[in-house]
Amino acid sequence: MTSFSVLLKKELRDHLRTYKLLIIVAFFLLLGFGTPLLLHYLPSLLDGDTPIPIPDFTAADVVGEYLESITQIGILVVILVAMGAVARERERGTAVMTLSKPVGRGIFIASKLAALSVTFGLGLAGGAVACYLYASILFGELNGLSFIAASLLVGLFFLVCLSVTLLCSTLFKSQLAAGGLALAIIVGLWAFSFVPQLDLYAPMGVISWGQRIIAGSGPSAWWAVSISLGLVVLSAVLAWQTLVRKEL
Amino acid sequence: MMGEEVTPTSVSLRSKVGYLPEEPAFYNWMKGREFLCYVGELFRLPSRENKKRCDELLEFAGLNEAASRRISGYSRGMRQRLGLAQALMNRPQVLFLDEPCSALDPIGRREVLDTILRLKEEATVFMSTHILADVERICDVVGIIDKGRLVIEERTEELRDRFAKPIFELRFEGEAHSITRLLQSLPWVAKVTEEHGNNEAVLRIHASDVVTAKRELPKIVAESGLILLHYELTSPSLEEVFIELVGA
Repeated sequence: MTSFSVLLKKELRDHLRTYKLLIIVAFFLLLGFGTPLLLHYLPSLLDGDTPIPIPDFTAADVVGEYLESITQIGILVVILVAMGAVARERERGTAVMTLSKPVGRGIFIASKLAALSVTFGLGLAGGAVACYLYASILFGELNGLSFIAASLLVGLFFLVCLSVTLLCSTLFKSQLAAGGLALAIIVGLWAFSFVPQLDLYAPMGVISWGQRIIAGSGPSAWWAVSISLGLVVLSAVLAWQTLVRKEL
Repeated sequence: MMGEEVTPTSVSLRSKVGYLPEEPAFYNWMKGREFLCYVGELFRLPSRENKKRCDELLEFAGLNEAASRRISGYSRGMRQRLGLAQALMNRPQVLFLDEPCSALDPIGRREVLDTILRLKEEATVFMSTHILADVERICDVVGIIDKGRLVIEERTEELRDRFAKPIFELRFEGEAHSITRLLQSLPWVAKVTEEHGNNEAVLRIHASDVVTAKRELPKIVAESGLILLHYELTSPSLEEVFIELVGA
């Protein structure tokens, strides 16, 4: 086994045994079946007495709502889970125990990013399947390929958030400081998407593109995809180089 | 070290080195055996050899019965022994031990020191400690560090001979003022202290010329007419060397 596979296996066991995997999958599943259910039963819950007119939701509206929800709340979950990935290991001293063995610091970072991606990937996949099933059953047919494409774009956005948070976790020994900086950077990246035309380039633009794919119209945002991938690589390399320079 | 430069990226060098931090930290969700096997995997030991080595080290650390328990439930002494076991996983050529006996009970401490004595036949062992009795017992070469500066580095015996002068301890029945006054006037005596208790006088004589003192003292005692109860030339200790070099 290579160092990477040993570390990846350890990280995944950590996620499993400390219930991170369970919590993340449960969170996305809850949003996955909760959003279609909520929108389906919303008119009967409000009982027709509300002065606000409730539109007739389509399956595409439901998926759009789901994508928005997992993005907004998911960012916080990403930060909470990933902010201690390196910071906590340095703070507690477990990083020394691992890195005094023949393990490169780049491999250490890569294994953490890979394990977090797998865990969040499983959560997103679970949530997506739940949302697709419930939205199809309750609101009519959905284009499966469009839904997969939109889910992959959401996954890419989460990968950006994970890599940025991991970089922040490498910069500080304090988890709170790492989480705070990660939140500031991600909110900053998000702000770009509110500037007209910039949403085609900003990482958040991949979510908007996903929503457009589901709606069936609007321009593509390949630049946003490329820039997001670039940010993932850049954050991972910076995290590796930062850790090389840090005293454990 | 071993012909290689020590840097954060010198990964191959670490396969020949063992390291025990002062307070070894572990993944608390892991079990004792699981952690040792994880370390073995990091050293890329083949599966069968890894399992055999884990068994040997669990036996050595006295953790056989606790091997399947979570590390979070281990006492400080058990964690220290597990830390030492993991440092030996790769049969290191160079072993760094930071306060290896700090959390051990007297029996555990003796066992660890005996192990280090055995290990130094096959590996170079660097050990940092404040327990000078341990150093005297097992170290061939001593380096004393004061405020981050290496004050001296020398073989233990040579250091003791050079810096710590032997003390002659004499115990008389009754008072011994007369011999104390006589000794204080002699050129080869540096210092004499006299203590009383239980109708006895205890004299501690620091000789500037030990050879003359060894020859002359018995004669002076015989001529004094005092009743000698005890005569001992005490061996100098590293503690005295330390105090002389670093200051009390």
